[in-house]
Amino acid sequence: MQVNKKLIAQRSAVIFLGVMLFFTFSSRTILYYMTPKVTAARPESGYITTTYSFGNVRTYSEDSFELKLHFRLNQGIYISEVLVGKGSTVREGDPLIIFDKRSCDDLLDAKRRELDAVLIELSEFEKGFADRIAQLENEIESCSKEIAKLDASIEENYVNDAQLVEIQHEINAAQADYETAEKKHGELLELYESGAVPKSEVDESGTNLARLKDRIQLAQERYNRVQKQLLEQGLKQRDELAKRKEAARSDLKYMQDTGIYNGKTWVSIMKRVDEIKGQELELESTVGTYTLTAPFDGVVTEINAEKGMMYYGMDTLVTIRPYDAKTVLLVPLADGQEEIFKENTDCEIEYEEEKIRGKIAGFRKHEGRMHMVLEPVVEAGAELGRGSESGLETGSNTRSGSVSDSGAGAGNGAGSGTEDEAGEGRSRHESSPFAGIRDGSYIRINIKSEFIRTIVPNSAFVSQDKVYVLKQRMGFWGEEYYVVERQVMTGTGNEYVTQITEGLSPDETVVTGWDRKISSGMRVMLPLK
Amino acid sequence: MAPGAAVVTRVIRYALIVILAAVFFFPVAATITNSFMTVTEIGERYASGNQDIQAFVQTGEGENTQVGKIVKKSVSLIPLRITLSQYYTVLIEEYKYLNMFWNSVKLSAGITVLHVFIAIITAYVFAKVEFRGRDIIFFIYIVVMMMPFQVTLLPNYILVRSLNLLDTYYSILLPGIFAPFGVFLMRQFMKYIPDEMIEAAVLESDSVKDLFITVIIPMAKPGIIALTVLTFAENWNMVEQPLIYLSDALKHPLSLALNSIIKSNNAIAFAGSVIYMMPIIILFLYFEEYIIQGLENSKL
Repeated sequence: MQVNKKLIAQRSAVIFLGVMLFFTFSSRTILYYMTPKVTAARPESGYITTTYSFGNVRTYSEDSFELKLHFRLNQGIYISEVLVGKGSTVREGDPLIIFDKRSCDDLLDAKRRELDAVLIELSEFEKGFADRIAQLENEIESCSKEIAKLDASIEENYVNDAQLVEIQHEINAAQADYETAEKKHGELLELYESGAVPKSEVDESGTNLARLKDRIQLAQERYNRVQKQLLEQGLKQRDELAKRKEAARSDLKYMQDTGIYNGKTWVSIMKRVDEIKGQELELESTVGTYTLTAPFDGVVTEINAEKGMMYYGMDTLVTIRPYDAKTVLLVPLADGQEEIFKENTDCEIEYEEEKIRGKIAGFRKHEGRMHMVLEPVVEAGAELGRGSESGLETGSNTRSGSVSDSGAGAGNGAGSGTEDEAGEGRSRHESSPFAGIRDGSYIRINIKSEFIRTIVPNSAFVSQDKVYVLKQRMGFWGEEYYVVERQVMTGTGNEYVTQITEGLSPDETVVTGWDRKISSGMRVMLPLK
Repeated sequence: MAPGAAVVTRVIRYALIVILAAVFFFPVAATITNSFMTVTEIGERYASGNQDIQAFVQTGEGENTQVGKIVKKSVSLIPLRITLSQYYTVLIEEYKYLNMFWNSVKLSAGITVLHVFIAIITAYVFAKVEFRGRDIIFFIYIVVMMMPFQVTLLPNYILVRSLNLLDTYYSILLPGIFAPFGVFLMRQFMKYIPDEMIEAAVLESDSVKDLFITVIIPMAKPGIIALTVLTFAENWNMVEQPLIYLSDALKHPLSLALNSIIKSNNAIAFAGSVIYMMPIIILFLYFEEYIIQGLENSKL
């Protein structure tokens, strides 16, 4: 046992010393291979250009004029000809669209009939309203009279009422009979006491007297009963009349205050009259001439009509932009995206192969969706002038031609003069930097940030808000590097770099690449370049 | 004594021995097994303070529902996941611990060898050479030995400083070499070497060297080995001397580093402790019989 213990001790000593010596001489080499190699960089300062991609953009002009009927038509107008296309240049009074004569006449006739009907309705309303007012006034008056009459009767307890008078007469007659019978009975009693008449006559007279007394009492009771009934009826009638009078007065006041009769007012009918008159005038000025004409000199930017189409109003037929109108680009934004962008920020708009300088002019809601408004920034010397007499203004945007071409194509059937003008319009249209951008196109917007002090490569981020900071310390073999995880707040960024707003100072070094997983506090080396 | 009573006594005795052995062996076993634990597990089990308990109390529904983290915060012999990460740190990543290990080896071995050499010669003089004032000088030795280490610390420091030996290994080596305990132990041992044997050896050869090689050292071998192991162990464990005399951290022995590891970085303390205790365990295993014999023969 002792030998075994010694042997174990011996072997343990050899192994232990061997291990210690091995690691003493080789630990540095092992450490070299085991230590993660990293790349690191100091944060840079400068600008970050961020690129945003947007689809479905459209151009828009503030001064554009939309030609359309501003009300819905019950019967459509047939479009016979469309004389212009998108991009066509037009002058004031130029015909744009020709409507079918018959459908225009029908529409005008219908509108006139509609006006007549409303005017009749107005006169009927006026008459009915006055009649009703008079009726209510009469009712109030008659009710008042009746109530006064009833009040008088009630006050004298209906004593002059025919029924009561008749009963009273009965009572009076019965009382007169009673007095006569009483007198006769007194005489009979005297006679009986003198023995002139038998007792039976006296008894008969007494019975007759009692009968007459009962008759008077019954008549009096009937009188009281009838009087009570009359009073009750009178009070009830009076209440009913008072209610009727109050209702009539209330109706009268309501009508006088609101002017409503049969659910209509004079104002509402007059409004309809004015509306229909306005529509009639609008129709007479547009379809009345069977031609839609340009209201001023400009360029057709949008046309939603084509030959053979039925037009039912409200929808824009043609949009015309004045020559000197400012065209902006409307960029649809996702929810909350407007917070990313700042107004008056310069940007570069990439459309196909072209780059256009612009700036964010603001934000506006358009068709229920938030849009970013981009304005072109025109270089000095390339300022766009108002359309000259010739209307020719050369621009550098070469793509506009294709748009104008398609616009001209839309104006099929136009005369040669119109074609020429459309060609002129192309030249004018080309002058806007945004003119070449087709509605619904896809663009990229490059926005250069303000000067940023701390920018790090995206590769430095371990997670969304964490980086490794490279630190130096004195190790056994000299200076050595280690990493410390740091939570930072990020600002703007693009696919390559990100701004650090908080958590990192410009004189610190961040780890930008590593050849294996690293963790906070881990020793690292810097051979990676 | 009846046979039955003897059996019961023996059972009780063995049970007591087993229990005591388990109690004494548990820290060693825990140190070894925990050296294979992950840093995370060590952090969870041996984190200082009672943060886990507080965290539990905050999240628990009742005051007495102490489960979960409170259970984790206990000593365990079995790691949840076995890893060599602690050894990687101690042996490869942090070279300073290896350096400290060799510092310990240098200091302990140097002091041991020289101290044993000095102790043998001095002890022989005190044991076998008659001269005037011998017993008084030896008494002074005994008095110095009996004094606590802290009493001699300041005079030693002043002496070392006056000799310009601060921050050198000599500041540790010199006080260690001339420590009185070895002299006392060896004197006790040599006192019982028969004078006749020494006289016979002197008759054979006038050389002191031959005397020591042929008689003294073989006769005092168990004592020398015991002294060697005890001196090595004592100096292997020294903390105060390097802390006071050595300001250069590169010269610190592992004993001093281990003291600070436990306070600051307990994640590698177990692996450091295993490496630290290995030499002592090996020495004890190898020289166990000599140590026992030597201590018995010295009549201490």
